[in-house]
Amino acid sequence: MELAQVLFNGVSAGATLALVAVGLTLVFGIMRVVNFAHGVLFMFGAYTAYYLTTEAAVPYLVAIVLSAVIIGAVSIVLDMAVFKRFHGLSLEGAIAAIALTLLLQNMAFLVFGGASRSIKGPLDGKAVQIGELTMQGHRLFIIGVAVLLVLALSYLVYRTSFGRAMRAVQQDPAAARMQGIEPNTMSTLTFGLGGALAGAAGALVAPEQVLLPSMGEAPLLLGFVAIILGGMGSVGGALLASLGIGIVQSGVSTYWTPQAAVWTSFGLVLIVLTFRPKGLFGSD
Amino acid sequence: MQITTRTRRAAVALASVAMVAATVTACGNDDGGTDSDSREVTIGLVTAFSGSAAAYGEAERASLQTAVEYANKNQLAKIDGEPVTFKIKQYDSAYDPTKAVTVTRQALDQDGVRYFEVLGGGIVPAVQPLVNKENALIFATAAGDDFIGKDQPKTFHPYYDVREALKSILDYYLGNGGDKGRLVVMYPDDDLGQSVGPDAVKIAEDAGFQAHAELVGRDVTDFAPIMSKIAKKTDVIDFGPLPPSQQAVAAKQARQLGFEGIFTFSDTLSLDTLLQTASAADLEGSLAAPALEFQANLTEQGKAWTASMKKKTGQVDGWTAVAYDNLLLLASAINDAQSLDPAKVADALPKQKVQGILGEVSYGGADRYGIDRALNLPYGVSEVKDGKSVLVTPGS
Repeated sequence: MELAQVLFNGVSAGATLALVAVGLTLVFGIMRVVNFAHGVLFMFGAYTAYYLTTEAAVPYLVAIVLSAVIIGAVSIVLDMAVFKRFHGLSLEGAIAAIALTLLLQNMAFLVFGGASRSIKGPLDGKAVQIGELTMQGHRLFIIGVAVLLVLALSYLVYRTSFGRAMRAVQQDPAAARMQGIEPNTMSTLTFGLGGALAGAAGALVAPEQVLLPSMGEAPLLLGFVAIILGGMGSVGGALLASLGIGIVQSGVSTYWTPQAAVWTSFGLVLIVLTFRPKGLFGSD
Repeated sequence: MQITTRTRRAAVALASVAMVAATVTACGNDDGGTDSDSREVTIGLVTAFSGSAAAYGEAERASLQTAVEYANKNQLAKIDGEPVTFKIKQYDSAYDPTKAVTVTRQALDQDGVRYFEVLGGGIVPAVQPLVNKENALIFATAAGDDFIGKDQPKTFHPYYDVREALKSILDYYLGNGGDKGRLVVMYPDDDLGQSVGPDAVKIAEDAGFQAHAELVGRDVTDFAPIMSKIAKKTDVIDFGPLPPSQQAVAAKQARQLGFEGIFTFSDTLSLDTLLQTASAADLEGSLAAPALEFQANLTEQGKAWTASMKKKTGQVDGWTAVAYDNLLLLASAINDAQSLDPAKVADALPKQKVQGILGEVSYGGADRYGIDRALNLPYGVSEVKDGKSVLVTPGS
């Protein structure tokens, strides 16, 4: 039963990570920008949910949706103000993203303060017990929402004209333009979508963690591990890698130490990249 | 050489990073001045104003600022009859030794600071070589004690000992019908945890518990894997010097995973922070030491300090009381030494006894460290009853 608990903990951690990683890889796939500001968007999503639920008395479920929408809109503004100039420029875009991250994180510290905050989720204290296996209510909720969001995203990317346009830009921006698709507009919308996913992920984990301006750093780091492992730009790869990393982290933390879990994940990436430099599902 | 659009963009991006970095660095300093004025003591407060332990910095600064205001107003330190003015210059370590070294070097070389208050057991040893080289003095606000001793005569430890705190808690717990069962101490996975964690385990074992330590990184936010392993088999979980934000998440997740024992906090209790995440029911019966926030309220000066802290930060972080009392000791030592030379003040400090907000405080510890560098403090125990922390046994 301990193994079942390890798997459950791993899947729930992987579900949150997947939302972060999918947003990251979408942005990279379309814009070729390594978005270091993604962790900050995750953090802003959590704080948005905090203020909506505590200051505006918005129900938590509505707050998740609003957080996604608000952070998505903020991301679009950021893209138009900053990242638009760096579409297709990996190095310059990454440097701009680092600068923006430093700026926004310090602004967050000034505005939100350094004291930790937290919000109560509707399923706090509730759990499903099967023998020795304890499945916390909020973690089940995170898994459920993550599955729904990923299914919705898959539908959007593979079953709609918007998704086709997005993939067309990813494969060949010049050819997409000849078909009447505006790559810059698609990039901006993709950046907004990635931001919305980060915002939703932040709002989702808020009741499970405490909120701090630095809370986006750890998921960002693991998000990068996931997308490199899965193959930069591959949504399916990011999903599977997130799940795998979540389970590895859970297993190593349980049977060894949490610190070992971090470097084990990086070790795993190094081994995979040795044999598959483009990641598990990456392509040229 | 032809400058391409790509190169220009890279240059603009790099310039942006440099500007942001400069802005961030500038944000860390709000006071000017150095020790060049012979009647002024600048205390370099190297603490966390950002990162996971950011809440520590604000609380520590507020307490030290209250002490500075009191000392300056009452002219506690005088040399040749002329009052000595204290001031604070703050430096953000972000609770990161590398950043701490950078800002400490800046404090020494650019700002001329010679008195430091440094937060963090992992930070103090990192900055000691720099500070020692400049004949400066460190007040280490940190758990652990590897950094004090005869070979570090200019480092003082105005803080409590988490081992003494755990001893006090377990004495109270067992003296009030608590069972000797399984106990897990949770410590940070760093030098501090590696050195003090085993001592804490030994203390618990000597008290009759089956004990082991779980060391966790300061960036860990998911405690479910650890708690899945220990929650149902453990009677007492002792939180050592982990940030309150981590304690809160860990406590909540332990309860979710079936922990029915009690939590103990041997690095004081930040109840407000814990209550934001875990529920009052989760924390009922938790024990903490040293109960400095209660100790402070036993004196008139302490009550004024409590009021000042509430005004400045909205809450009272008991551990910061030591920063206040330590400044009173420093003022007394300057009077005694009649000098601002850190070496002379260091010699005078162990001879001082002052009435602080925690009662009579002084430096001792020669029996343990071979030199009097550890602050003598009371180790009262508090308990969470009906969602509130109350003093159950005063320290002596």
